[in-house]
Amino acid sequence: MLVTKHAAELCALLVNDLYGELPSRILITLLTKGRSTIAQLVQHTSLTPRHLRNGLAVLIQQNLLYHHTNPDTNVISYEANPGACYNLVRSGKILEIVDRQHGTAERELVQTLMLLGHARIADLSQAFGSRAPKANGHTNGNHDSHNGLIESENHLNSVLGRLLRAEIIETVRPDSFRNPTDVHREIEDDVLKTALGEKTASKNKAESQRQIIDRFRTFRDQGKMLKRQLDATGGFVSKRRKLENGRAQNGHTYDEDAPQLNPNVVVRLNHERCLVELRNQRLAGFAADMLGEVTGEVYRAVLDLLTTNFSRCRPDVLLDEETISQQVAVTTVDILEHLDESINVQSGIGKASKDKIDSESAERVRTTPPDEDYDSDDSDAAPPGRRPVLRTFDIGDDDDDDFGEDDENSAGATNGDRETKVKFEGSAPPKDTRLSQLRQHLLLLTESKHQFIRHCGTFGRGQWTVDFTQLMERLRETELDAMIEQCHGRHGLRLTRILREKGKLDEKMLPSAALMKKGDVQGKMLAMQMAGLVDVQEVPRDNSRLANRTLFFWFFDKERSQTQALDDIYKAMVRCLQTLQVERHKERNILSFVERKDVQGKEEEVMTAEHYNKYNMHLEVQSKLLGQVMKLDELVAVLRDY
Amino acid sequence: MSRGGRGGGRGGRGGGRGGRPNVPWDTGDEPDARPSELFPPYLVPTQKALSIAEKRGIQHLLLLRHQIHGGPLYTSKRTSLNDPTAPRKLYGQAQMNARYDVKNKASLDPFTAVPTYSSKFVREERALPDWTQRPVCRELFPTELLDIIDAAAAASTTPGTYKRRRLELTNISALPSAEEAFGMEGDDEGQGRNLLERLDAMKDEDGVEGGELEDEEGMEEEEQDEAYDDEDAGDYDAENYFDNGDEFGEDYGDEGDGEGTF
Repeated sequence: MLVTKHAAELCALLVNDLYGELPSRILITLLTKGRSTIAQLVQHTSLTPRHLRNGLAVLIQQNLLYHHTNPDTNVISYEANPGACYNLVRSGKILEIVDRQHGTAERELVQTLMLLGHARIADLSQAFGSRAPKANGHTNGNHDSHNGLIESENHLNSVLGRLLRAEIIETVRPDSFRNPTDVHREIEDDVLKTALGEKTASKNKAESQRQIIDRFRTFRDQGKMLKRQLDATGGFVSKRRKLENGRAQNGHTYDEDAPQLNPNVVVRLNHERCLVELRNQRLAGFAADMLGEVTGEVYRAVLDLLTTNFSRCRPDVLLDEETISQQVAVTTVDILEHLDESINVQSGIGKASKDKIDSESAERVRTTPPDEDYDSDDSDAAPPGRRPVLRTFDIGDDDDDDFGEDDENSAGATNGDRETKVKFEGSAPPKDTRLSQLRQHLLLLTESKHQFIRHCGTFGRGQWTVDFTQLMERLRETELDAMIEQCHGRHGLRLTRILREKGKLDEKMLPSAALMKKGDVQGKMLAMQMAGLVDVQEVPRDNSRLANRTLFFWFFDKERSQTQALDDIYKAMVRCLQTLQVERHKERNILSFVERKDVQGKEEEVMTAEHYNKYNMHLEVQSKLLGQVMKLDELVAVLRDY
Repeated sequence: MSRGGRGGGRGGRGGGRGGRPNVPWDTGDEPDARPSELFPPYLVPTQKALSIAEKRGIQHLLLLRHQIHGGPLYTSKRTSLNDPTAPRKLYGQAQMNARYDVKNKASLDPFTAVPTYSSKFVREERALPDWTQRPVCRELFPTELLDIIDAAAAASTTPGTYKRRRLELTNISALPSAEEAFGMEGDDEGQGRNLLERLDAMKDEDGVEGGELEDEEGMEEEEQDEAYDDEDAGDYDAENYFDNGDEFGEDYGDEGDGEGTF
């Protein structure tokens, strides 16, 4: 990952805020100067070697560095890991989602791991094991088991096992601290060296390429070895938290006979898997914004089911593997089982009369993901006027008693000619109705212009899948559009969309295409060019290269505008954090007072309403600034990581 | 000379052609060359209110930060040099680093450097992380850092003699909220418990590092404070320093008389 100036500043600021000044000073040098040895760092930072070693050790403890000992020369080099540094900003979100998805005990363990960086299982179990009796003796009875925190070694063991199986926690080995690019290159060198003796035919090349990929994959998946073993033995049944029901069970029921984990294994948080969970949340939020709360919840259930086995959001570039070849799909029945009981699927669906619904096209099964350019003729199967209007179809509205029939011919031709029955609101809906209503939500998600899910089979009342790559591309486009509209207004957005559709467009064509005045177009385009969104290409018509004999083609470079936007966002985040620093400095007296160990005892003497108000105000400002950083991070995640 | 002439000629030719070339960006009207407004009206975008999930995320982050700051590996040396509001003198990072953890007269803050009673409650600043309280995974660190992070193990040559460190969980479980810090919390029970915890924590820390000595110092200081307490306009009251001119005279007179009589 290449870092820009602002990204480097951001990383250093985050480390400064969380882990202190010494590591941050070293980190910024490592980011600007690249891979260095201690001797070089001494020169670059003017810190003493003793300070440096301490700082480097802290950074390694928190997994923020790559380091490598050259086996021939015994020279040790250090390199910053900007991805890990950036992930610090997501700590709060990750904790929140782990708390929501898995439970409080899991959240506590993850928080402890964030605090420690990495830890040996033996140390963890000793620490958690020794904590419980102490807490008991302190305030007997007050230590309630309802708070869901980890209570005993056994409990820890089961929590750890579950998180390991969910891949949220991974194992660490000395190799994990090597830069993956380095490892890849080393493997490549190794493979090509042995193959050098023979003639390098094209067949050989493909063979060695495959070998490289295999070996790199084994390197990358070493962190998941323990997970594999657990999967094989079948221990720690992964249990997802359902909102109400799960909470009651979570505190107590942990399998006592869970297999003991190897105490010598070192574990840490796996950010890549956490990103998958964050992406699910983001997408569910997106769907909720577009289609309504209940549909969002349904979508969330679908995503949870689909991504249980995903270990990362994007395929690894070093592996150049194609996107997940066999599509995973879930059936409607599975979704219904997974869906929280408390969600009322009845709401959030509109009603439309039967003749307005083209059930054939609504229920159409698409077995392959639609191509990007094929997209427009995708709809040609349905006659133009009969496409169902968004949110207004309810094919299954009254088929609560002929569900079997509906299953066979999902086109539902027989449904159309029946009168809609009157429903009694008070009576509890039978399961079947719930299922068909759930299907309405799923169809709604399919039918949306963002194509949240794809109907890919008819088994089990319909199979559904998500084309993540295309979907994320659309989400990215939406975000970018929103950003352009914010900065350059409606007209700017219109112009960029025209350019995106047409590719390169002659300047003379632009005003007529956009239905705008020539002057307005030019002003807008110049402003956007200065912002780095669009650019112009000059093509001379003849050798004279006169301005009036030249064609000017405007174009919109998506890749570049995304990186540009990313850098802007990093900068905004840096500014937010810097503002927070200044705010903290302004209120430093109150803050240091609050942090004092004795404040609790003497508050009557020292407390004044003025200070109290000031402190409260500061907390508000702090949460606003941090909230802004989190929102910006959401954008970064969409543009870069998901 | 010939160069000058040629240059002039070209300029003349360019100007002489007259009229602007027909370029596509020419709209015919003159650019607006008036100076722009100094403070143009600007619509400041405001943030949407934070959702509950976001708030919880922030709370988690802040709690984590608080815990890390309470942990043994956090280092900070916030000197007055580090004031973000002061105009920044650009000495460069290297020069700033060279001053890190240097204790001399220049790096002292004259207003806070004199130890006071209350300074014992202020969280101490650490310039170097404290590795003695953490078990570390030796195999994950490069060899040249081992004697820093695990000095005891490096010193003991025989493997059996070294006692394993124990990992301790943080005892910080909540953020200091305004209510708590300023005693505005309603329920007494929670407050009492917090007080207990806090007292415990103080006992632990003081017990280890010569708390008695500090206490004595503190006592002394307190006594001194009382001695010099100027609660009711104190010992230096210029106007009433000599209680009363007349009385003084009288007293003197009396005494004088008395002395005289003796």
